[in-house]
Amino acid sequence: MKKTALILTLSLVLLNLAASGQSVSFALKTSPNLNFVFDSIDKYNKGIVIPSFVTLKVDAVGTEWDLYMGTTTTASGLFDVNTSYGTSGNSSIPVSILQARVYNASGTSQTGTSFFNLTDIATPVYMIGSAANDASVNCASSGTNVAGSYTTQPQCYSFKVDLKATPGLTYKAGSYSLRIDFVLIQDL
Amino acid sequence: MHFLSNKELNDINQINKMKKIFTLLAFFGIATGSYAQLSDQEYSYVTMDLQGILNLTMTNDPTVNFSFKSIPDYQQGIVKYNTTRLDVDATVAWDLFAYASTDNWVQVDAYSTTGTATLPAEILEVQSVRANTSAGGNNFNSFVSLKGLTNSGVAAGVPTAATQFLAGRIGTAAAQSYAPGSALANPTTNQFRIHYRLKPGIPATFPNSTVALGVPGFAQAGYYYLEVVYALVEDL
Repeated sequence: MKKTALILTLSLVLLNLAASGQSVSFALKTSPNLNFVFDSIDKYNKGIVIPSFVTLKVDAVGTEWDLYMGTTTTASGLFDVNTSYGTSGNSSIPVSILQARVYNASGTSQTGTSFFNLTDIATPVYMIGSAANDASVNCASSGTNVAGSYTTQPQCYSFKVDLKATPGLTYKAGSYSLRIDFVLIQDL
Repeated sequence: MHFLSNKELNDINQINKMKKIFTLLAFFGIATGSYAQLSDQEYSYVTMDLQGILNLTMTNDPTVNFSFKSIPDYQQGIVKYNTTRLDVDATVAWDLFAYASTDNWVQVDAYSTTGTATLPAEILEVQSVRANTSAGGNNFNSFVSLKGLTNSGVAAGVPTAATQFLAGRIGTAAAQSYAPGSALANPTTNQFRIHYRLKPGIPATFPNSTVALGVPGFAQAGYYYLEVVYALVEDL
């Protein structure tokens, strides 16, 4: 009886080790800092675009995955105020004045190649997959979510991100900030 | 000394078996429970610097010439329509006001020996095509004398209640300033056209002026100039 129990236990441990051969990760993280400076009326009117401010390189081993993004601030959905330069205007700036464009050669299923408004991380925008368990999409179809790596298939596992800010003219002059989170997560 | 019966021995064996099964189940539970959802994160900090901008653009030749060469010119005066065009681009609440940089016109040349050479700035009448929507205060909604520096109350570029406003007025309360906006998108509030009028009369007493000419009461023939200041300020 003791021998049987030991064999069963060892089998479970081995099973557990075998199952842990899965991983999802971003490679070569750069975590860049961005600064939008609005110092002319043209910039206010037309907005500022910072192209390719980050490249997301996905490594997914043995599992499907989702990719989403959102903003993190003290007050959900509103920029943090570093300092105000004046008294007139509204300092509650929604994070949706920021727009992102996430793209690679095969494209993302959720956002395509157009700009979309950012939201708080509590209600993120999915570029790949969804909050539910998704059907498998193989490379190089749009919205690839199966295991793979940017090293062998960059057209499906590498994403460039552009960021655009269009604040308009109604907000209070000042310095504002937020954090943008990109989350790569196992699709369960 | 108590000897166990066969039944009791069987019960103990059953209990031991159950313990082992529970131990295995517990281990299995731990093993399956350790499968947390895998994830990784990348992040970026974004700073946005919104600088206050006030742009006042004069879109035409800033020099305006009045030449009085005939009796009708003196009697009826000369009106220069749409002579100055101003565009305002602002990211903050703003006021726009005007005044003469001196109290009197500056005489460059005298063409006669009679009459006064001291002509108050107020002989120049100014009208803005866009009526000032901030009620109360002094404005240019119709032809009015442009105040000289002292009468305008402007000191070191700061207006007072006596100052004449094209947009907004003194004070920071609601409706006492114009909202941020660009001239291109808001032509009815951020674009201005200015008319000028000079009416000397005969003799050249400038009857419409709010400040009377000094002795002998009429202007000396000559060449004069006056500098008009348009100031765009944040409504503080």
